[in-house]
Amino acid sequence: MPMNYNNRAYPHPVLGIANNFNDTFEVNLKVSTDKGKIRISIEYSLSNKDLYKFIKSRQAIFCVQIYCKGTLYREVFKSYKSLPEIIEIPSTRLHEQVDTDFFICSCEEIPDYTNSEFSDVYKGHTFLIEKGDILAYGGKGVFYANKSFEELKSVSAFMNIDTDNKKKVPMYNNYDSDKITIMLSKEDYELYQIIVKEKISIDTLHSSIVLPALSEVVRFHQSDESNEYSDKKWYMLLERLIDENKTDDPLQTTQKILNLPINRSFNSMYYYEMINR
Amino acid sequence: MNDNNHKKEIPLFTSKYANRLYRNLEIEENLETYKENHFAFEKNFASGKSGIFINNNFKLDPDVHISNNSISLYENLSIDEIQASDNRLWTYLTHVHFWNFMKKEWKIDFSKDRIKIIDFIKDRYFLNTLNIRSLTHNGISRLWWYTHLTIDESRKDKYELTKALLSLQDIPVSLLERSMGSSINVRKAVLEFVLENPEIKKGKKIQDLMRLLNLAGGVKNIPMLKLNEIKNLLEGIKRHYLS
Repeated sequence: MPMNYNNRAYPHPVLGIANNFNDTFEVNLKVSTDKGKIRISIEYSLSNKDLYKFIKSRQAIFCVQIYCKGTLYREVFKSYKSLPEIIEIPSTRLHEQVDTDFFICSCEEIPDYTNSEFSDVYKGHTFLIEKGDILAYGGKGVFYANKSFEELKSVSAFMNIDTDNKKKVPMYNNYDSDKITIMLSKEDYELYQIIVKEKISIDTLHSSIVLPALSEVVRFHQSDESNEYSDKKWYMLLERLIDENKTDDPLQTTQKILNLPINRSFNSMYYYEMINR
Repeated sequence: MNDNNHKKEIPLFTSKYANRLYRNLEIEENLETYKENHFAFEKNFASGKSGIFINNNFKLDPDVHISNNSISLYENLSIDEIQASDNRLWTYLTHVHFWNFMKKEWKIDFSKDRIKIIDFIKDRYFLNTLNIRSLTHNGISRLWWYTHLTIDESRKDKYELTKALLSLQDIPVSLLERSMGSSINVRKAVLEFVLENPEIKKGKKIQDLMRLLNLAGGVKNIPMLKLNEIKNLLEGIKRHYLS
């Protein structure tokens, strides 16, 4: 349940929200793992001179809030430097999706806060700022703890195959769990379990089962119906993969995600044919 | 003698099996298994080694106060946060190890609508989506997390805040079902405030207090504040809106 800071009505202009300012506040986030620790390095990039002055005089501070919904870890790390010290968190404290939000917050009451880069609507106005008030929002970052890039890109990270033990029925997708389950009939699932052990079958399985199922998932993901699943792990992992492989057509996007499965399948079959001739 | 000799290793359901149990709730005959004295499960799907041990004789008692069960489960189940967010573990514990406790504490009312029965089982016997709400709804995981989120070794009674949290049903619901409840500073401040202002437990004041704190969190980054600053904020809410 990460918080959403973009859709709120603030009683004062906040840099990074709507068009309150003519300036920007951006953040560069890098995450690595080293000896049982997750190392998070952040670089704040702020173009607003007045807010910089507040930070220099210690009336405001850069903050990052790190939140892991799996382990209920939530910490705020503060710094007066745009290049703060690397944050180290034991890797046992974070699991899978970790959300980060970046802010500049006030460290004390500022009775007549104003800023030379307020947009025209607010120019010349002053506001009462209390300690902890959000003055700038640098957006959200997401990373996956203890998961390699390859693991996250793999289809098995968000899809699996199972059966509902019904006799001959068409396959369908079930979206209720953290992974999408491609549901096969009992007979198909039993055959699948036999052939999946053969290396030669993997590419063909990708074309015959995963391609149509994932293609439907990509279409479903882009429809309003999928909103109720937005907190599922599969939804979030897929969102990233769709972004990276976007086309206008779900079928083509899917083939890019699966690294051209038709071609792989044909090549495997051709190779198999050749060696068995 | 190794302490683990008195304990048994908890087998985990496989992910696929835990998900299958969840999905199969829609099938009438599977719903019937929730009426049985023992939950019938396929043993070959609960053979994984978890490295998690529990005393053979350890039981939860539905007749004692929730804080007793929460603390004793926490003391008997030595796991880290990653293990404690594993749906395979909690699904196994609700369906097998603590089945009798679950049947009494989270008794399923089979006279209700089928959809309501299924929703109730999904909510209390499973952990299908990982977030603070589901972790504090599963009938067993909630007990572990309540203590884990409130234990304070610096106190004379390290469970003082756990007992405060569980002294009124409204407190864990109002505090932990909001994302702000995952901040240790916020939790500690609210629970200390409850201890220092017991009158806040009357009527719906706790719900209002947390709703108003959450509203304040709309413009303020409350988790960055110090403990006494959050308590001052709570004091202000109480003075202006709740008296």
